This record gives sequence, C-alpha cells and structure tokens, in this order.
Amino acid sequence: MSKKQKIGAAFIAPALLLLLSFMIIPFILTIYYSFTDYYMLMPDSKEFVGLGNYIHLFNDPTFFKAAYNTFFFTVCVVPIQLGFAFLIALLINSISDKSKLKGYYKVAFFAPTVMSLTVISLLWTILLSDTGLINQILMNIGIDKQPFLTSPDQAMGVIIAISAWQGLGYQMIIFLAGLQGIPKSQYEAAELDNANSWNKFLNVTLPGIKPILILIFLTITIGATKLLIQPMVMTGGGPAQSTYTMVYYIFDTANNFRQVGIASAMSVLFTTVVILISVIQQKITGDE
Amino acid sequence: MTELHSKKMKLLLHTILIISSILFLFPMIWMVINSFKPEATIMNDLSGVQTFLPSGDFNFKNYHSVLFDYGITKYIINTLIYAFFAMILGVIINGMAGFALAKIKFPFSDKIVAIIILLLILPMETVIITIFLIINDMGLSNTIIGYLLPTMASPFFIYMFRQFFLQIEDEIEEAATLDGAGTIRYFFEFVIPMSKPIVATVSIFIFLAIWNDFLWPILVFSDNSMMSVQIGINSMFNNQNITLGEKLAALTVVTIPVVIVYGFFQQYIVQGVAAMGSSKE
Repeated sequence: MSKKQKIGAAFIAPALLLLLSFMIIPFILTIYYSFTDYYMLMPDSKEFVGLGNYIHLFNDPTFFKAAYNTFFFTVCVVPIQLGFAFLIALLINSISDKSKLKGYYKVAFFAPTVMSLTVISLLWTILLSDTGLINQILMNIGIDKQPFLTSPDQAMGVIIAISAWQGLGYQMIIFLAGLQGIPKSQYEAAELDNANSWNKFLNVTLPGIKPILILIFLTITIGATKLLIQPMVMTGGGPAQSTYTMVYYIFDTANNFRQVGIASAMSVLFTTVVILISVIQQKITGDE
Repeated sequence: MTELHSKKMKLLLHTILIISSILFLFPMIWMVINSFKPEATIMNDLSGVQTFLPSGDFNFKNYHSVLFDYGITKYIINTLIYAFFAMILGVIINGMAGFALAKIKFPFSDKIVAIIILLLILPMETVIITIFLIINDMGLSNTIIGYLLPTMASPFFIYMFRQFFLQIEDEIEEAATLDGAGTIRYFFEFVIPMSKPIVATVSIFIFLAIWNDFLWPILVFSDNSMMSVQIGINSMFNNQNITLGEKLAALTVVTIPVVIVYGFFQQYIVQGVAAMGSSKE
C-alpha cells in the first residue's frame, strides 16, 4: 500500500466501521433472531426455533392483511406520484425563464415536502375530521359529509392521496433538473428534421430523462413499501386494520408486543421482497 | 413551438398550474392563517371564504401557549443540538469516504462501492429494532451519542459525495501536490471549499432528516427531557386541553425552521440534486 492508499483507508474507515456496526451487523443479527424465540424482556433465554416464526406468520391473518395493504398502497401511490411529478415538471419546464411565475410554481409544488410526515399527518387529521375544513367545503358545494379516515373503505385512499401530495415536489425538482440538463442542441437538431412537439418529447425528452426516471421510480417504490408514519399518526392502522402496513406491524410486534423473533422474521421476508423488487425493476428498466 | 398558438398555450398552461398550485398550497395557508385566530373565530369562519383570510382579532396567544405552556421550546432546542452535531459529523465522515472512493485507487474500492449501492436498497425501518437492541446493550439509550451513532454514516451521502468528487479534475490535485499539499490537506483545503453545493446539500438533508425524524427517537429516547420535536408535537396533540388554534400554531412552529433552511439554501439543494442526476455512473 502506498502512503496515499493508507490515507484513503483511514478516510473510509470510520464510515465503513459505522455501516458495518449499524447496518450490516444488524441485518445479520435480524436474520439470526428470526430463527429464535427472542422475547425482548428475556434477551438471555432465546432459543433456536427453526422456521417456527415463519410458520407462525403464514398462519397469521394480520400479516397477510398488512402485506396486502402495503402492496396496495405502493401500486397506487407510485404511478400517481411519479406521473404528477413528471407532468408538473414538464409544464413548468415549458415556461420561459423570464416568467416570474416559474419560481412561484416550483416553490408551490415543493412546499408540502418541506413539512414533516408527522406534521402533514396531524394537519390532514384536522382538515379531514367530521367537522373539519374539507367536510365544510363539501357541504357548501352540496356534497354529503364523508367519513374519510374513520371509514375502512376510504382511509387508505386518503393516505395514498396525501402521500402523493406530500412527496411529489421532490421528484418534480429532480425531473426539472434532468429536463434542463438535456442539451438545447438536441432539440434544435430535431427541429431541423421538422419534428413536432410530440416527436421531440418522444425522441429527445424521454431518452434524455430516462436514467432519472428509473432512479426516481426505484426510490419512490422502495419508499412507498415503508409506509408507516401516516397511518401511525392518522389512523393507528385502522379502521378495521385497513391502513395497517408491514413496517407498522413489524414495529408493533417488536416494540409493543416485544416479540423480536417474530418481528425479525417479518423483517427478513419484507427485506427480501424489497430487494427482489429492486432487482426486477433494474432488470426491466435497465435492459440496454 | 410556433408563435401563433404559443399565446393560447401559455394561457392554458398558466391556468392549469395556478389552479393546481392553489390546491397544493391551501392546507398550509389555512394552517398558518388560522393559527393566529382565537378559537371562536376559527369555528365561525370555517363555513365561508373568510376561513382563508386573516381576521381582525388575530393575535399570538396560540403561539405563546405552544412555546411556553406546552414546552415545545425544549423539544426544539434538543433537536437543533442533535441536528448540529449530526451535520458536522455526517459531512466529515461521509465526505471523507466519498473522496477516498472517488479519488484514491484502492484494491477493493469497486467492491466497496458495490456494497454501498447494495446498502442503499436495504430498508432500514425493518432493522431499526435490532439497531435499538445494540444501542441499548451498549448502554447508550437516552443519550445523544446513542441517537447519532447509527445515523452518521449513510450509503446515500457517501454515494452523493463520490459522484460529486468524481467530477473534480485530477490536475487540481497535481497542482496542489506541487504546492506541497498532502492528500489530507488537499481534501480539507481544496476539495471541501470547492464542493460547497454538495456539502450544503448533504448538510441540509441531514438537518431535515434529524428534524423530521420520528421512528428512531421514539425508540432510543424514553426520557422525556431528551425527546425531539416530532415526537413532542405528536404527544402534545394527545393532550385533552389543547385547542385547535394551538394545534395549528404548533404545526406552524415546527415547520418554520425547515422553511428557513429551504429559503436560504434552495439554490444549493437544486444544484446538488442536479449534480447527482447528471453525473454518469
């Protein structure tokens, strides 16, 4: 090793040590715990139970309910959030830089991302309550009051809408940066070929933005599978477990029911699915 | 786009954007405006347009009781302290790692980068309990060190730093070396000052992550005097006596520091994100 490499090793050592201690080892431990009957109040008496925790989960209806809710949320929120973020970025990008409104639009659509998930969850709980602003507006325009978060049929839909509303400003900014990064010369070349707006979109904009699109698609999907704070703050997972998610159930099982072994088995299954999603997405989208 | 239909298009474009931007903003506008109103006025105004307008009797009573009666000030100070240390340590630790991976030829550097990209995928939420058990075993629960240790190194920030440093020309290092600067001096005196956008971006992201953190402080802090702000506000809402106006004031107070950060550093955030998006892997 040269002197420079030694310095390099020293530069990277703290980060690697921390990642090892607080990411990699916890993952390995979680896999190990998933095969034990680790009970949080009796950490020293954990015994190997083989696939016991996994078998327990496959007979647990709440586990399937939480898995289904997480799947449903992800499948709904990803296209909505990604689609609107891209659409709004395209609209804002087509405004000339001279327009004073351009800056306002960016700030306006970005504004909800500035608020924490806890704050937006608490705020929307107020807005959507029985006597809240939204029901007041509905009544003013002649629509019946809606139960929203207190209805098993509506609560998840409400959480999907709020989550997309809160998150898409961030992706919009990334899209905008990507759109501005496409060289003007490519559009000019397309114009020389008499391309119309739609052709320019298909042949210049989309290919130019594709790497960013893939990156954002992946991050939104993985982010969506971790849904926790919104139901935790707004509905407590209810009504009738309609907003109970995988990460919420893992958290409850470990922190409230103290069953670290079962929670770990759920974590292992969940992590496997998340990694599979990432791998499949990369295989499909990154084919060339 | 031809000049002929661009006028109409422009009008349509702005109409769509203005209407949807209002739909985006109205919850926050309502929150801020009503946080200054007495309880009776909030209720009276709710059924009409005046709910979105300031009232004649606006005052800071709600803010006063939020800051001084409900003790949110303590949670804010706690969180600012956590964020301050997290930012400094996070920039140094992740920045040095990113620099080593970008600029120093290692036997295993490709493998380390691959592992870091792999770690990006892993959902931390699912092992947070195991991390808590480790911190607890180390006797570090209810301490600032216990809170910060697991959050300091981030594969995401290491990757961001690396992508940024890859773009720095090697000639600059050669020139610095001719001036007698070693690698360590080169990093701290040349690279870091050259990298303000990424340093600012990572600092801001760390600040926001700590300020908005919910799950980890619930686990690591059982002692109320250590609590951070999001937990504080959530438990405040469970208080039976809190009024709607006070709730709205509390939500506004918790959001203000974040707005200030974005207001000051917006340029850096956009630059940093753009740098990450445009760099080739």
